[in-house]
Amino acid sequence: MKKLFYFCILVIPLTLFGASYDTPLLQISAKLFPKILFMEKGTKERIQSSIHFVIVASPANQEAARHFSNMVQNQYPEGINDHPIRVSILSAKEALGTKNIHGIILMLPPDDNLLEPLIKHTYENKILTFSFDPSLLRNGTVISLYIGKNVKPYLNVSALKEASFTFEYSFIKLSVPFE
Amino acid sequence: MHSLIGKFAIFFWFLYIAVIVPMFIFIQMNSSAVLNDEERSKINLVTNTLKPILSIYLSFDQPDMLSETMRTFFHNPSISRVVLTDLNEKPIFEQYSAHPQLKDFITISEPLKDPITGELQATLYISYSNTHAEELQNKLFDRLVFLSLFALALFSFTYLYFRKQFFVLRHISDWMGAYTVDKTTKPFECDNNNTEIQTIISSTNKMLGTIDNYRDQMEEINAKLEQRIEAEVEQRRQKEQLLIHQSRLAAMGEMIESIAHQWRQPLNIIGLAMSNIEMKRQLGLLNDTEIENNSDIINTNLTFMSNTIDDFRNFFNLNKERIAFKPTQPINDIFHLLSEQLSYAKITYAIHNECNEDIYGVVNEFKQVILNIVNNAKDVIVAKNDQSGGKIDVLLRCEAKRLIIDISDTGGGVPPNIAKRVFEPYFTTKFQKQGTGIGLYMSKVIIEQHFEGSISVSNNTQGAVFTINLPLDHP
Repeated sequence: MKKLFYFCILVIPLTLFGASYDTPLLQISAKLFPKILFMEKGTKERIQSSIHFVIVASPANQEAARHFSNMVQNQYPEGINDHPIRVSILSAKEALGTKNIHGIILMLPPDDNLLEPLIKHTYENKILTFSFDPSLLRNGTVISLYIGKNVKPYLNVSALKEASFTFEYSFIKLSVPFE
Repeated sequence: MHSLIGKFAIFFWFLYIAVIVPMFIFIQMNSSAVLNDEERSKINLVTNTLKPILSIYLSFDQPDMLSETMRTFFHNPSISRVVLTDLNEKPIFEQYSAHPQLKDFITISEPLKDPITGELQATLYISYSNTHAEELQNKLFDRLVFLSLFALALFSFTYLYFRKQFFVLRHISDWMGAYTVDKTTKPFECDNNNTEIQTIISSTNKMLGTIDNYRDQMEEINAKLEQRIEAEVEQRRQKEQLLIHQSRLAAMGEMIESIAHQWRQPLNIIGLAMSNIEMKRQLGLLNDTEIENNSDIINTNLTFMSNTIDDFRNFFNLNKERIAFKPTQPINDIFHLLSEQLSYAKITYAIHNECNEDIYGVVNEFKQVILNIVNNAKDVIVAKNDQSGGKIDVLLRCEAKRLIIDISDTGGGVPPNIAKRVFEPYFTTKFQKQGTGIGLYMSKVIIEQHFEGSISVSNNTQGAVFTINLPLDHP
């Protein structure tokens, strides 16, 4: 009985959350990431009908990815500006082969082998990449979140230069640059 | 105000009022609205610039940056309060200006919409005041007042300066008004160094110098002219004296001829008386009675001859006394002198006196005039050689304080082509030995210059009519 109790204590939380992503962080991100998509002029112009988010998650983060997907849908049930939001959870390989993506949310470990080609792919196709973990900015992710007194977007300046993303001035002003 | 400076001053006053007054009215009426509109435009510009930024900050929940941006509104000193309220009108941000002197606020509200979703996020309230615009307007007004007063003062000083400068012209005018041509005047002097004034003074002095020069020349010319006139008058007087002398000699000749005619009859009678005495003496019939009778005849005729001589002497005496006299007596005297000649020429005469008034002058001169006219009439009638003789009529009549003497003859009249020349000196129609041509000229001179009358000639149906017009008024 004692063994079952300890098992439950260890496994249930893992079953419930699946990864180390706090719910508040996911909620903030679910609110901000779609908006940030509209701050980039090229992406804003490319959105025709629906907004297509792809969550590339490692197997360990699948549950968190689904959780985040639900949060986004709940946050914007009517979409944004009459553009419904569609969120797909794909693997890195699948993501590389998928077209008409407006934003990719990375839930991969920094040492994932497919991270680099995926980043390269997003640069070439002008797809914004988001991560919850600011350390992924070093791998080339464009947007992350700074959690301090206020929550501010991290903006990867190198990625902006390399992929020629163009953001609104006021957004750049409120962002925390990452170089 | 007739001076040029005065007209300029009036013109400037009108111009000043015409420019300044509308300018003040325009500023008072329009500047407030213009400045208020400008202030509103500035507020709108700031609001429209900051609204998208505020919306993004709201959208991304950036209260610090929102507050910082909201505070930038106060860079405009006219903004007194900015408030940002949420959809429930609950203030998200509210701050007042640090300018307590602001008053009379105007509040405008602007909705803030999410730049991404387009949904209403909040409402921005901005209160601002036009105090600065009013201050600016007051400053503008003060400066305009200062500038206009400055312009007025500048004009006044200019006016007074030029008035003083041009006042010298009045001195020149007074000086020229006191100028007389009968004395030399000193040149006008003035310490005004302006070129224009100096030019006027120089021209004035030059002009007056020229006038002085002309005056000297005129005085010299006048002096010479007076000398020439005096010489001419003297020459003319001498010539006139000569003419008078000639005319008197001519008259004397005619008188002598008259005397000769007058004396012919008494001389014949005296001669007959003497022959009678001689014949009676030779016959021995001469007694005292005969002697007395013949002596009486001789004495009577000698007396007549003596009287004739007296008449002659009276006529040629040098008595020039001007007296009032009746003209009939001298006329009768002349006809008496000429009676023998007239009778010889079968010329009758008649004197019709209808005016018994006196005329004033020298009697002998009047006689000379009558003698000349009657002699001329007699000569013309004689020259006509009419066996029936002729007639001379003298009519004296009064006309409005004038005595008119018409002496008409039956000599046929004066030809019209010479009528105007009969009174000219040395003009005669007689043979050289019979006339000198000065008789009628002297008659005209005597009547016009000594009797202040006039003499003219015209023709009637039978001959000439000489009309003498003399004044009856005596001095």
